Amino acid sequence: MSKITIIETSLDAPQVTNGILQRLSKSDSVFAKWAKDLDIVPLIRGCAKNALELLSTIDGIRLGTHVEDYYGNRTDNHNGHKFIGVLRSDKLPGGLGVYMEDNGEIKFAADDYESEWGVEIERLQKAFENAFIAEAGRTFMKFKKYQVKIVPEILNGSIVFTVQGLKAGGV
Amino acid sequence: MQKITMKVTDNNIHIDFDGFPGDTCSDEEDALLFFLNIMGVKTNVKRSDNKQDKEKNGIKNTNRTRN
Repeated sequence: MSKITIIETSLDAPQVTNGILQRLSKSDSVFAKWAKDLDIVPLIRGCAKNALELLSTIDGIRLGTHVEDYYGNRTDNHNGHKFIGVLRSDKLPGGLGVYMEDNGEIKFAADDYESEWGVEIERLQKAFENAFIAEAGRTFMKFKKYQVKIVPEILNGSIVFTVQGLKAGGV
Repeated sequence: MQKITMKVTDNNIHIDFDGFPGDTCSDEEDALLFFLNIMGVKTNVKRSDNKQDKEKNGIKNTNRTRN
């Protein structure tokens, strides 16, 4: 059988949906046990690092460790949360810092003093979210023993990703 | 061959499951959504149904034969 699913997404704090977990315990007990026992915060950090590396393969995006403001002040953290990485581009030379709250929620920090910086912050933030979801999809498919590849592309100015998993068997 | 294709665009994921026996693609869909949720990806399912005849990637064949 074949199926299509279309989902609206945003990044948020990690959530466990017990109803789905109960269903999964019956249909796929190996996955349900793995998912239930996961140490989720390091996994999210790892996916975020991979997402940053993935974005660094896109023309015009560079990685850094510090965010710089209009006055040239540099920081490697936001409110004590060290940046997992910083995305830079010519349109945002100060960079967009990506960090994680204690509960695993991904957050961003940058100086949006110039109006064009704000536009680029939004573009890079969306690009990171897309890359992070693609990396989460890769992690899922690898556990499920799919052969996985991720292909980035620029679509109407946005950076989007196609994750493809293939596994022998089925119909 | 079982195949999952996830197209991740701004605020949306389009997932295409192909080649799954019986209703196992629904189990795979459940597992993927559960995993995304625990990774901090909030999901709101807009559409989830079996592909119709000749449907590819959510785009239906709308060709009509003219009389």
